[in-house]
Amino acid sequence: MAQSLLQRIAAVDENAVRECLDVHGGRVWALARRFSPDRADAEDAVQEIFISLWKSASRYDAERASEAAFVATIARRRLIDRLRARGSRVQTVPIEEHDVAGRHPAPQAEAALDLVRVRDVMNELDAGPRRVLELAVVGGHSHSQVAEATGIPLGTVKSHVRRGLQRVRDALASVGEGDR
Amino acid sequence: MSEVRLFDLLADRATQGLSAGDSVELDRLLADAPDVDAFEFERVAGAIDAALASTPDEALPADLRARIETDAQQVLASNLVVRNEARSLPRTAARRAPAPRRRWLSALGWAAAAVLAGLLFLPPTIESGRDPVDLRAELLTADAMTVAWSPTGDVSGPEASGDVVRSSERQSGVMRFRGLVANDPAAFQYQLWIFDETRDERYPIDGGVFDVIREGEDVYVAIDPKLHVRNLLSSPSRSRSQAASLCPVASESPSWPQSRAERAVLDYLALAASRGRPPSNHTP
Repeated sequence: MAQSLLQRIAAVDENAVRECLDVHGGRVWALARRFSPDRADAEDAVQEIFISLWKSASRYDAERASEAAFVATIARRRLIDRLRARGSRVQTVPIEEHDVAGRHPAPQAEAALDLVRVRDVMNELDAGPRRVLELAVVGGHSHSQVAEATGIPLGTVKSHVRRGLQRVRDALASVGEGDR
Repeated sequence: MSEVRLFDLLADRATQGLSAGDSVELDRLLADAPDVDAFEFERVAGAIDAALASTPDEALPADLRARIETDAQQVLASNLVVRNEARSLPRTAARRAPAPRRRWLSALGWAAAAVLAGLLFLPPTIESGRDPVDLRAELLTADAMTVAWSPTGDVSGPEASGDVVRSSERQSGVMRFRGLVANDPAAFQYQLWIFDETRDERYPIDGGVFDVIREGEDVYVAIDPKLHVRNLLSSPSRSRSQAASLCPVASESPSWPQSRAERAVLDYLALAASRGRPPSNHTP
């Protein structure tokens, strides 16, 4: 089996660094811009994210998650930490204008098995819970912001987020057990 | 009810972060639920983000990309050559790494039981990239000194132990850590810093990160030849309550004159579990 980019980076393959930036750089940049108050802050965040990624590369486990999911997890962690450190939430785009899933989602054929399963599960959710999960996770909006924008009580928003994550978690567990 | 609250807090942390109070509450709930994967929701959120994110409308800016590539060169040439090796230990109950604290407050202070005297200044061509287990075995057959670590009771390593094997003649050494709690690198990593007592205590002179993949495994860390250290000194009585930067600081100061006295010593070797976030006042 060919080594992943992260495995090659862990083996100190500098070409893999460039390839990793080609593959994941744009998405990390887009994620950072969603979570950051301005472009300069997003740039700092992206630098931090990739430093963390270079250091974590040796521990990437392809059996556990796709590379894209691993990168996104590390990126989100840094970005949420930065938000908390600033003591603020970001409202880069008004929620009603924010097309969370994007008009041009990455082609299905390119997505790893876990990501395909995630999309399937998200499509199985009722519209309300799905929208809440999209806004909270992909949109980077606080639960209060989601409650205010959707008119759904805050407690219900939190329940939707928790149950949605649990449902996707269970679906990913079945990917790990049954599809190898 | 506490289980619902636990998963609500985990969901909060994975999506919007936690306040200090909620973070403390989460730590407490996780301590009572050792079978719960503390970072699973964060991985799930990462997978959702990766699955639903649209094709980026803008490429990484060129100047930013150049800085990232420069960072990568430095990180890949990091001074820590690490090897993890499973040990044959009696099986203990599976434990999850405790949820890392939100701030740099959970420092595992380690202190050698004695002073390692001698020159650690190493030319850049020695021992780079050597397997630390092999190197340690080799040093033990030479004139190496061995100094044991003693833990300070931090939750990351209440039963931890280890040692430093160092050879003055060979100008080389290997640190070994045992009994550290396994960590999820997506959540936190162990941070190793080396401080110079004669310099600003906010800034370590060298450092790096490593992971403990499996409970009970040994971690071997080679002391990198780029490390410009005169004497390695540790004080059993001192432990830091707050860590400094994660970012590897340049290990050699261009302005550090060779004539500086041999009395320059390290403060101590500190090992901490961290999030990997540099302090706001850090200046590389």
